[in-house]
Amino acid sequence: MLSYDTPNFRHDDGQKKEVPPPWRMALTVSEGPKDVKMEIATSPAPRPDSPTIGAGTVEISTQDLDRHIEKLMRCELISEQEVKTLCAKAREILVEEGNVQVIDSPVTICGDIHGQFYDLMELFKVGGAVPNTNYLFLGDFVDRGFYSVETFLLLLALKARYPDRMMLIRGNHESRQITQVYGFYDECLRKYGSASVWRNCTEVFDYLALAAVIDGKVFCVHGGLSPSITTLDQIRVIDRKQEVPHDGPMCDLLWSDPEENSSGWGLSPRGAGYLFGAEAAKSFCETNGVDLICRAHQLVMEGYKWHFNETVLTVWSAPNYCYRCGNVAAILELDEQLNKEFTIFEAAPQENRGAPAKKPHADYFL
Amino acid sequence: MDVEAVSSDKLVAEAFSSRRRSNSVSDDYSTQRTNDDATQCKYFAVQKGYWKDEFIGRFVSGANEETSRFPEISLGYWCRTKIVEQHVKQFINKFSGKVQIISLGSGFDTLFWRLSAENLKFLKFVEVDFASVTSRKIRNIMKPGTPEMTSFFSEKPSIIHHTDLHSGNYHLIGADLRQLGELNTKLDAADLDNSIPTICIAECVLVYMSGSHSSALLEALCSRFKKLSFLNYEQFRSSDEFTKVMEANLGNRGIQLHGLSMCESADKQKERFNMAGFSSVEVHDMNEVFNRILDPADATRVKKIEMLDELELLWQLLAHYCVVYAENH
Repeated sequence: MLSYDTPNFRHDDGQKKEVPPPWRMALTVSEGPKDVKMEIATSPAPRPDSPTIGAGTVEISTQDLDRHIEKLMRCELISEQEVKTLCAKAREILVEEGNVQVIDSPVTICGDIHGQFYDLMELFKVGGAVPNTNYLFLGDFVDRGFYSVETFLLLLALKARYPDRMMLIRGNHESRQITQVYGFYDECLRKYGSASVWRNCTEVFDYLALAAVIDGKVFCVHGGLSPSITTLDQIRVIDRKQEVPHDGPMCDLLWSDPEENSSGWGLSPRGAGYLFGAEAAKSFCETNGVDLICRAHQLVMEGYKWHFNETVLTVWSAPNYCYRCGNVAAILELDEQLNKEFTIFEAAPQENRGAPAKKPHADYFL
Repeated sequence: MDVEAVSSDKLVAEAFSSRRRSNSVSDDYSTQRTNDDATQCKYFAVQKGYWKDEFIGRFVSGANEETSRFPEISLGYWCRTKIVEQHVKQFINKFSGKVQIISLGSGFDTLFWRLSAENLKFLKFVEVDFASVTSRKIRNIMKPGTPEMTSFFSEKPSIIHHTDLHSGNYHLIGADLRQLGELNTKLDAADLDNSIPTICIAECVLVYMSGSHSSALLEALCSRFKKLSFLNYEQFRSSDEFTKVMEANLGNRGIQLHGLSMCESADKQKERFNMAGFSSVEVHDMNEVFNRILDPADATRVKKIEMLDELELLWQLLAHYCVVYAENH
């Protein structure tokens, strides 16, 4: 089992008792299946004047969280101190989650976001607002886009506010090393003037789950399979609270790709993880009783792509990736019967993108 | 020291602005800025170890420029730098150094110095760019420092109007490539021999001009130099969604690609070079260059410098650039 400490707290998903915050869409809050699993009994009642999410060592009021969310939804930053508290709260929640998150349908699965904040707003527009829609994000929240900070903090604030409706698992970019090459580190320095926000966020990365299983039937992971993993239990025993290693099972889950013309395992051109073929996917599904492996990690121009006779699926949620690729994006909605519905969406139109103070641009060879 | 070389910032700024005012096309300034971007990208890649260039640092100024670039950009610049270098070296060796090299829209490129530092001999190296670019390049060349840029010249440099530098084996001239009269006069001043094998390099240059301007330029060069080779690097497959996004992105930065229609396909490139008088034309997209033409060991080495998270990004970029190699003899 997990080898790191788990604080003795349980979080209280008390969302039904609260007034919806102003930014929330005016829809009735559905009673998702998550409510059944609330562990109210073990958590102290929130103070009436300042309702708190959870009751661990970190206290943050729902009003504070709603305020953060409201601000971040406008693509505005919260203060360094607020980031610190939010990250501490997020860690407290995430540490309770298993390496393989158990999720119940209905849920909407989203692939890479990569700091494309305004495109994430498009995603919420087509997928529905939190908490009306349950979301599972398959990692790669940061890097490459211009708004990794706002994007990650927003997802994190939503996670802290609605822990059971917002599921975040780790992508290969949720890493100290990778974020120093692909922009998140530089962006934190640029926007906060120090690396402390980056440090806080990367600590949270270490707590993110590695995979999820929906209704026992859909295995979700950022990259793919690993030759050293046969069963879900082998994932469950990984000590995940660390920087993404350069090799081994944890690395593979975050880095591997399906390879159409192979059956077993191959070397990945990415230099990390493996290429897995149809046979590897089939045997993983059979061993673990799952019907589908749902992953992200690879740009697909059409937003989603089936592999190996519909046993593996790639979902990509960053439209016009890097503001350069010209691709559309997709999310996958699974209903209670695990029926699949894809929604394709495009990059946010220019007029919805606000006016960045320092105009960033996509790179070409000039 | 030459009085021209130590002109104050103010004088140069005035020269820039008068030059800018005199330009007929309003987006020229943005086009000239593309040189700064290319220089920054090359400098970053060199610092990361993609290739060696001890001279590029002499041309980097922008203190407040964002310097870090994504690996696929560094890999793409590696690919471009190496293929140009390889072609030019082959050309030099083929004619045992009895060649002239003309770099059109050279910007702050350092090929002259890199070849010289390797002791490769050639008769002349001529660089042409907008006067606003050449005047800045001259200032950087004349600035004392290490390596000493002028130490590679065969004669003491003489500088005319801030914008032109002549020094025996190296000439840097300020000219608008669309003004053929001006260009020819300036080339005359570089004392070129029209009968000697000559190679012209144009890296992302023709694409900024209209098709009629670039065709006229190619024709003029083709008829002037009897043994001309032309190495053109620019956009490719320009009729797809990627290019539409590129046009919009660059358009936001004031950069117009007037010659994109010429970049649609290999056939289109062949047609334009044939029409201008080149008898043989080869076109390779940059994926081909990366995977099949350049040294595989070096390609493997550069791929390992930074972990490229998404290879698709590199393939997509490289598929949208090509090299055209044309000869008129």
